[in-house]
Formats: sequence, C-alpha cells, structure tokens
Amino acid sequence: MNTLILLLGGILIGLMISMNGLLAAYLNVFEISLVVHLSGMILLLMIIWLVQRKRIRLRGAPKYVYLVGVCGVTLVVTSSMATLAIGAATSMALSIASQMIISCVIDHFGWFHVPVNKFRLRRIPVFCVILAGLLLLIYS
Amino acid sequence: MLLFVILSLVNGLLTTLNKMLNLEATHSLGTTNGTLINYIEGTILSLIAVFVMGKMHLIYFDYWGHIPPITLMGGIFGLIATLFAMVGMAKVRISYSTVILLVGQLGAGFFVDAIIAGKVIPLKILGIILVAFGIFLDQIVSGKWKQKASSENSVK
Repeated sequence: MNTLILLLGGILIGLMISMNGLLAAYLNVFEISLVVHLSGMILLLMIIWLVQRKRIRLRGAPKYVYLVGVCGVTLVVTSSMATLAIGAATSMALSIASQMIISCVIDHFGWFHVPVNKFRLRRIPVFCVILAGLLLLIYS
Repeated sequence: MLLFVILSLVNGLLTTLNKMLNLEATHSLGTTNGTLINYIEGTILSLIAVFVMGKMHLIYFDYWGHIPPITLMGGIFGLIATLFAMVGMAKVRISYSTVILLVGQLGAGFFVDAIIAGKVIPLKILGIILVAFGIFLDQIVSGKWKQKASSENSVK
C-alpha cells in the first residue's frame, strides 16, 4: 500500500512538471508560478481550516527558512522553461542527477544538520551509469 | 539546448535546497503550516513578478478558454504529491521511498512526452531505466539503503 502511495506521489510530481511545461505555451513562466502557488495555497488553506481545523502559524522558524518562497518560484520557472524545450523526462532526469550530486556534497559536509556521510570513490561507476542514461535521454 | 540542460541542472540544485528549507520549516511550524509558507510566499512573489514584467494573459478572461484545463492542475498535483510522499515515507525506508518516487516521476514524464510526440522512442525508455537503476544502485553503494523510515527518526 505504501509503495502504491509513493508511486502515485511520484507520478503526480511528474504530471505537475509536465503540465507546467505544457502551460508554458500559453502563459509566461511567472504566470505559471502564480497559477501553481495560488491553487496549491487555496487547497492547503481549505485543508487546514476545514479538515484539520487548526490555526495558521507562520512565525517562529529560523530566518533563512523564509527564503523558501524564492526557491519555489525559481523551481517552477526553471522546470517550465526546460520541460517545454527538451521534454519532461529529459529535464526531470537532469534535475534528478543534479540533486544527487548536491546531496553528495551536503552529506559529505553534514550541512543542514544531516548526518555526515563521506563520499566514496566506489560511487563513481554508479554515477557513470546515470550519466549514460542521461546522454541517451538527451540525444535520442 | 545547452541553456536548457543547465537550467535543469540548476533546477536540481534548487530542488535539494528547497527540500532542506521545507524540512526546517516543517520541523519549526509543523507539516501543513511549514508547507503553507512556501505557497504563500510563492504566490506573492509570482504576483509581483507578473506585474513587474507587465505581460499578463490571466486578466483576460476570454484567454482562459484557450488553455487546456488539465494544464492548470499543476499546483493541485504538486500539493497532493507532497501529502502522498509524506504519508508514504513515514512507514518505509527513506532510500526505498526515494527510488519509488523518482521511478513514478520519470515514468509520468516519459508517458506525457510520448503522448505529445505521438510515438515511443526505445532509447528514451533505456535511458530512463539506466537512470532509475543508477539511483537504486547508489542507495545501496552509499549505505543509505539501510536507513530507517522518517517516522522512526527523531524530529528536532
């Protein structure tokens, strides 16, 4: 059951990125970001007020956390532009590869309070497999 | 082409940063309030950017008829995906959930590309399989495969 939920979650993320890419043919990238964030905000407010019946509390997090909105907008903008130009699967695979590389760096230095996990050379062949997959996606 | 490859790589960097910031936000404010900050700030910043750019299609209601309704569902899909991911990741290993999420993501992307292009390119299928297999192998080689589910980890 959990596997199915996770698979559905992944599919929905893929659909979200794909739909944003298709929307780029009709709206500019900031309008796409507005549609994505506004619709998500309305749904989440409904969940908090009507389902959870909780109060909204936005203060009390470390100051750097409030940069999350800038990140979110830039994410939607970059993924929309890339998806429209090179396709959803290719842009997602490139993004995933980049995430893996930066995760290696974060794990190696223990940033953001994550446990330190030093990078090992035995991971390099694995990255070569991923690179081969990316090259096939980009050039096929 | 190179520009969009670089954009995708930057997107990956920002996705990781965004995850870390969201995690800190949910630790401080709870899951829904922490997630809400992202959407509220994103809405405000996007609105400002749209006004600054000066090009607005959304204010013309007759223009909405040109937009396929399914393409406007991205925000809803994203929020539901976030909730599904949190539910699913609470009970299974983080590495396992990472692989399943990414397989679903790549599969959906390939499916939409195939519908738009009207054809299936076998080499792209092979590319996706290699990327997914590489991600799975990395979880094992890096030792992350044995890490516990998120509900079993302490939250600060």
